[in-house]
Amino acid sequence: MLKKTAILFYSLLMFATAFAQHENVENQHGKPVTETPELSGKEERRKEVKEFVDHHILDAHDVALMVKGGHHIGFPLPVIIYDEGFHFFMSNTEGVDGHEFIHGSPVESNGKFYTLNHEKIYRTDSKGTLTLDKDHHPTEKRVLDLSITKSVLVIFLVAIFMIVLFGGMARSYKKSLVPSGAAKFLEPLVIFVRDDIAIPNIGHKYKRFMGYLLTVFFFILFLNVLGLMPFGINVTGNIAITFCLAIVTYLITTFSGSKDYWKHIFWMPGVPVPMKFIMMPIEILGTLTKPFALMIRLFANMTAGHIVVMTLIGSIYIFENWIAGVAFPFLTFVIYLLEVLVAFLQAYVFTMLSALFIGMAVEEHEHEHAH
Amino acid sequence: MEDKKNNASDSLRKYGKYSSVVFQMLFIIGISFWGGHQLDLYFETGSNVLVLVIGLSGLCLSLYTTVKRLEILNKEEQDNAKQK
Repeated sequence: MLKKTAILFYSLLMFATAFAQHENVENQHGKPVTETPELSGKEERRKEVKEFVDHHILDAHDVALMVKGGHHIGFPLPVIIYDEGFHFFMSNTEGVDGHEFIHGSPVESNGKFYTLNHEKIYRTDSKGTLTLDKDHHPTEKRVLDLSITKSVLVIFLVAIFMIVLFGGMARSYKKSLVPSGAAKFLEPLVIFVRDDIAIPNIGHKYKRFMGYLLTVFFFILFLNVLGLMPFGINVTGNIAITFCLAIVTYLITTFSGSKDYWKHIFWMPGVPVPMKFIMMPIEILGTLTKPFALMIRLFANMTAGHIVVMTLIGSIYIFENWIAGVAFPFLTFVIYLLEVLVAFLQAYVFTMLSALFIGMAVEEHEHEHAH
Repeated sequence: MEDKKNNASDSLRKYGKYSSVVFQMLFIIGISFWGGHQLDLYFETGSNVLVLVIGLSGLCLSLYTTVKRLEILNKEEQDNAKQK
């Protein structure tokens, strides 16, 4: 109990410091104050840590494995833009001012200039001018960005990995039903998804949905686990990805809905007639809130986890004393263990809730026909 | 062991069902207040009258739907208990 309280207290303290830092940086922007060199060094470090965390949770147009002596070690990725025709170039293409595209230099492609600002591509002029509005967002036209970004690359790799892994597993079962190799680890998980997620929630119609549930479970699980590794991969913490996953669940629920499901939505039993009309739009809205909750849950959990771990590591370099040097690595380790649990739990919860919503849609209420 | 496992997944299932009710409630309240505000701006009423009227009726409606949903969930649970 005491341990839990202590961890909670430290986490709260960390959040407080994180917010305090944020305000300080804002103040610094607002009012130019004369500072001692020592303070500005610390402020600089705080800003650096904040930028590092902000950068980490975003998708990127290149893969940076590490930074050594100011140089990023990694590899570029292709940039694909649709702006009145397709434009292709690599993200390390040298721009007009001699720097690379990923470092903010405008790049010419088919007579037009493009520049990168906070991982978003804008059409600009040959000097790369961006006019910022009051919220610091550029007013220039954003283009349709179809690039193979870091997240897209990782999704492709995970997809190929899953096909190879499960394809191999399926072949091995043709020879013998005794699991071999990776199947030894994965068979219990597959059985778990079937017996603990699909059957209790969906019932006897579970077989049709097993393909989706297994895919989504392992996809989220592998991406969550990859996110914990030191390559800066944060795919499930990207709202676009969780949005697409939730959309698939929504489509499956909508298209496999039974008569009873639709009756509950359009003509709810057990309420007076005038209320049935009012309930109709609310119930239709209800079908949307369920996948919305799925989307937010996975996104928020993964993003929060990444931010907390990164902030804790960053705090070592901000405080720079022996207490911080001992406390923060320890705290990071504790939170990291929690994140390992969250990685598995969120994959489970997403699959479980998808199965639950599908189950609610395909369910036929026998008891209602009786009375 | 088997019972414990079932209990855990049962409670998670309940959590899923009830949390979707909560999200629906939040959505209705949010949309009615936001919609009221937008209509206030659109009709240029110059006051918050539509926010209050639409928002508060949305609030009542959300309470009504929540109660109805909970009734249904409760009934389902009782039916399940009877089957067991």
